[in-house]
Amino acid sequence: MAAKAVSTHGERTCAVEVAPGEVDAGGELTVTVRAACPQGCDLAGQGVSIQDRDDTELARAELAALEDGAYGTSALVLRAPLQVGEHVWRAVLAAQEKDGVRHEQTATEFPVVVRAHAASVTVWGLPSAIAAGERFSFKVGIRCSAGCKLGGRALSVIDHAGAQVAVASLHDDVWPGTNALYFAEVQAQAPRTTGEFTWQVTSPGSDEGAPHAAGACPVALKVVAPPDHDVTVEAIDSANQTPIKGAHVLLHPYRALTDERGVAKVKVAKGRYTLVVSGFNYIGYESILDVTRDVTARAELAVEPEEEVDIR
Amino acid sequence: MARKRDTGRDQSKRQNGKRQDNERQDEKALNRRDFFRGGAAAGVGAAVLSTSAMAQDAGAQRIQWNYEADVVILGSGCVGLHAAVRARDLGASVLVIDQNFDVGGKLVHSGGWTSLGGGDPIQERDRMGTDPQGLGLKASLIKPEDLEDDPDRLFRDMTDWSVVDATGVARYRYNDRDLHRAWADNAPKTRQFMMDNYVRFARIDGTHQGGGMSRARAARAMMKLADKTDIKAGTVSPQDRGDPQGERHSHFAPMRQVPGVAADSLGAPGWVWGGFSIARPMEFSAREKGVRFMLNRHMDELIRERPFSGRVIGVKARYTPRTHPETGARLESFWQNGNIDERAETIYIRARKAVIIATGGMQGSIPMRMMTDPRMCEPSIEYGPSALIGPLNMDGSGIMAGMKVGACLAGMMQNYQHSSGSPTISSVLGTRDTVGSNFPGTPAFLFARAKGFNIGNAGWEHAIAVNQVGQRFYNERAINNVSSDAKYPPGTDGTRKEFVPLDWRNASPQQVNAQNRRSAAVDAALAINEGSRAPDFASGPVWAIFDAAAVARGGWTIRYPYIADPPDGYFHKADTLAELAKKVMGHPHQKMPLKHLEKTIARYNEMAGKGKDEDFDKPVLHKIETPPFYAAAATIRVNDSYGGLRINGKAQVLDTQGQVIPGLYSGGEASGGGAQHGIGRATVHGYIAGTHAAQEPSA
Repeated sequence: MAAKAVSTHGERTCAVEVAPGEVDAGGELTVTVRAACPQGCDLAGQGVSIQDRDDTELARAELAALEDGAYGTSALVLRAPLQVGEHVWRAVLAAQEKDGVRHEQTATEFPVVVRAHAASVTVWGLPSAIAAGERFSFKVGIRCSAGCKLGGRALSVIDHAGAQVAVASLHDDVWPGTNALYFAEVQAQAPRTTGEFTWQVTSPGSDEGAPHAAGACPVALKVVAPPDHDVTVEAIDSANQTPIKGAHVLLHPYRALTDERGVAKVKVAKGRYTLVVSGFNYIGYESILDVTRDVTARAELAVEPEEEVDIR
Repeated sequence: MARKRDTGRDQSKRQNGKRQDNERQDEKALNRRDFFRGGAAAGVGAAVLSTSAMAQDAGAQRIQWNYEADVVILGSGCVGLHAAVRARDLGASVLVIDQNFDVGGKLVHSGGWTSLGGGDPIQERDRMGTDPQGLGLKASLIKPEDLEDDPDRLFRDMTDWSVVDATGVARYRYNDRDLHRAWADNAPKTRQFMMDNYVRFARIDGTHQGGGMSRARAARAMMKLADKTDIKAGTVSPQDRGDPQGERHSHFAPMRQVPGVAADSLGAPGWVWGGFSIARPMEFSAREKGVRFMLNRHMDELIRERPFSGRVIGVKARYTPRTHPETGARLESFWQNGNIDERAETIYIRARKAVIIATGGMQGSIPMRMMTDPRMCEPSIEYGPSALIGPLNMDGSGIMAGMKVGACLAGMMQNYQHSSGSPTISSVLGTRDTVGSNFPGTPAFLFARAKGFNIGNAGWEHAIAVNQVGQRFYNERAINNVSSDAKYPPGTDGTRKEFVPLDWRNASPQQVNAQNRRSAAVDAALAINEGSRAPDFASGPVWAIFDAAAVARGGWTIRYPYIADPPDGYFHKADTLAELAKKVMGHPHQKMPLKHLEKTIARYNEMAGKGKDEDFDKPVLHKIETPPFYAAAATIRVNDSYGGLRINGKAQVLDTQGQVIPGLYSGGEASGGGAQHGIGRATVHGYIAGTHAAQEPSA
C-alpha cells in the first residue's frame, strides 16, 4: 500500500474578537474566532478551544464557512473571571491532518479586561429651596452595572466641609419602575447659613460576591432664609373659569403644584418674584409679584391649541 | 346565537346585482388582455426603455397591453376617487390602480374638513338655516352674510396677495391664477357632486387654512352612528367607526383621534366625522357605478407615444402587495367588489382617453424632497401616514414619471414655505407614525406599532429635546411654534384691526420679513452635529428626554398601544441616564449612543437650580432626576407636498414649454401651483380631471 503523501501548510491565521472591551467581574462576554489557511484550505469543521492561562478549556466550537469566504465560530458566550485586571486567554486550533494536508497547532493569545462593577448613583427629590438649619430629606438610588442586588448596602452623605452628615442603607426592593435601582431615603439638616452648597453622596466599594467599585454623586443644595410669608396662587382656566389641578407654580426658587381647587400655597422669603404658572395644555402665565406680606394671586391660563397636523 | 357583524361590506354585497349590470356594460370597454402566456410584455418593456426616440416610438406601438380602459387613474385617494366617479358618470370606463391594499389614500384617515365655497350648496343651506336632507342639524354656526359667496369672490380670496400669516408665509400670493380660477369655478359643483355620491356635511364652521379669508367655507363630512353601516343612509356602525376612547380604530375608519371638536358643536348631534365619511361613500359610489380597482399595484412608468411628444397612452405597473408582518398573509381591501385581483409582477395598462396622476406627493422620496430643501436628506424624517398607506406612499413616483415624459414642475417653493409641507418636530412621542396616530383595529397599526403619546406644546416644559449625540439644540417650550392661521375669520397681525382684502397693510413688514423662518427649532435640529457623517452628514433623530416625575405630573400614558410592545426602538426606559444613552441605539436611524446625555442633563439640572436657562431661554425648567428615565423619539415629520406637476385649469399636465401633454392629467399633491392645502384642493382637482379626461377623444 502506497504511503500517503502529506504536505504541511504554514500556520493558520487566527483572529479573536472579544466584546465588550471591558467586562464586569463575573459578567458575560462573547468571544468570536475567525481563522484562515494561507493556502486557502477548507477549515470547516475544525475545532477551536478557548483556554485560560492555566490551560483550562473554557469553551469549544467548530469553524464554519462564513459568507465572505473566511471561517469562523459563532459568538461564544463566556463568563469573565471575578478577579479585576487583564487576563490572557488563548484560542487554540489543534493540529490536524486532512486530505493529505497537515496543519500544525495554532494558538492565539488575547486579553480579557475585567473591571469591578460600577456603581451609578442618582439623587432626586431634593427640595428646590431649603431653609437654613431646616431638616430635609431626599432619595438616593444606586445601580450596579451588572444589576447586582444592593439591598443593605451603606451610603453616606458628606457635606461641603468634608464632614459626614448622614448615613443610610439601601432598601431590599428596587425603586418602582426600575429593574435594579436600589434606593434609600436620607434625612439631613441644612447648613445654618444661606447659600449654595455642594455635598456628596458616596457609596464605598466592596469585594463581597463580586468586586464593586465605589460610587459618588454630587448634591446641590440651595439654602435660603426662613420664609416670611405665604403666597397663595389660584390657577384658573380663563375660558370656563374652572380651577386647574396640577398646575406648576414657580416663584424661583420656590415651587409647588396646585391642588383639586387649583390652589397652591408657597412659603417664601419677602422680596420681588416672577410668578410663573404653567399647566399641561395651557399657555403659561407670568407676572411680577412683590411679597411684603401674605399674598393671594390669581392666574388665568388660556388653553393652548392642540397640536394638530394640518390635514383636516 | 352570535349576531352577525353588519358592516358596509354587507351592503356592498346587496348592491352587487346593480353593479353586475354595470360590469356587463363594461365588458367590452375593460378587457384583460392576457399576453403573459406569450411572454411578449417583458420584451416590449426593454424597447420602452430605449433612449432612442424612434425605438421608443416603435416600442410604444408594439406594447401588448394586459388591460385597457378609457381612463386609467393612478391612486385611489382624494383626487383619484373623485376623478373616477366623475369620469364614470360621464360614460368612461375607469380603472383605478393603487400601490396600497385598500382604497382611500390619505383621505380615509383625514379629518374630512372640506373647504370649498363660491356659493356652494352647503354655504347656501346654512345661509338659509335649512336642513333639506333631514340630517337633524342645529342652527347655522356662521352668520348668513359670512356665507354669501360666489366664484369671483372665492377666486379673489384665493389669489389675495395681501395676506401674510402669523409665520410670515403669504399663503395666497403664490397661487397660480389660471389654476385657481378654475378651482373657484368648480368648487360649488364639486360640493354638489360629493353630496350626490352619499357624502353628508355638518354645518359650516370656518374655512380651512388656504381656503380664503373673507367667507366661511368648510364643513366636516360626517356619518351618523347607527346599528349598521349603510352608505346610502349615511350611517356607520360602532364597529366600523371604531372607538378612540376605547383605544380602537377600525379598518373602515382608520382615523386618528382629533380631540377638541365634538360632533354636536358642528351642528350635527349624533353624527361622527372624519375623512372616512368622504372616502368610504365615494369608494362605495365608485364601485356601485362600475369603477374597477386594481390594488397592490404601483405605477412605475408612464408610456407616451414618443419620449417627449405624442399622447400618453398607458402605464407600466408592478405588483406591490402588503403582507401581515406576523402571518405573511396578504392584506385585503375593506370592500372587494369591483377589484381586479391581478398578481402578475409587471403589467401594461392602456388608457384609451387619459391617464390621471393622483399618486400624492413626494414626501417619501429623499432625492425629490431635496429638490426644495437639501436638509431633507435626513433619513429619520417621516412623511405622513406611511403606516397607513405603505412604504411606497408619497414616493413621488407620479411626479417623477411625469418628468420622464417631459412634464414641468410648479410651486416647489411651497414645499419649503408651508407649515405642513416643511419639516416640524412632533409632540406626539414614541412612534414613527405621528400623523396617522392609529390605535389597534386598523391594519395600519401593524406597521405603526405604536400610537404615540401627545405631550402637547406645554408638555415640552417637562422634557428636553436632544440630538443624536445627546445635546440640546433649542428652547423646547417653543419647539412647536409653527402655527399658521390664514383663514376665516380674518384678522391681522395686530397692526390693523380689520382685514381688508387686497390691502397690503394687512401684514406688517415684520411678518413679511419673518418669511422663510418658519421653524427655527427644525433648523437647529437638522444642523450638522458631532455625529453627522459623510456623505450626507445626517443630523439624526431627535429625542425627548424626561423622567418619572414628568410622567407623573403630565399623566402621560406610556403603555401599549401608545408605545410599542415588543419595543420598536422609538421609546426607551432605563434605570440610569448612562444606560438610557446606550439604549437608543435600538432606533433604526440612531447610529451612536447619546454620548453627551449625562453631561447635558447635569447642566440642565444645574440651570434648573438657578432658575434660568442660560443656553436657550426656556422659561421654566424642571430637573430631570427621578428614575426611571425615558427617551422617546420626537419624530421630525413632513406631512404634505405642495410642489409638483404643473397643471392648467383643466388639470392637464403641462410640459416645459407650457404645452399640454395630451392624455395626461393630475391634481392634488402630485401637482403644484399654489399653497392651497387639504381636501378642498384635491376634491376639486379630481372633479376637474375626471370631467376633462372623460371627454378626451378615444385613441
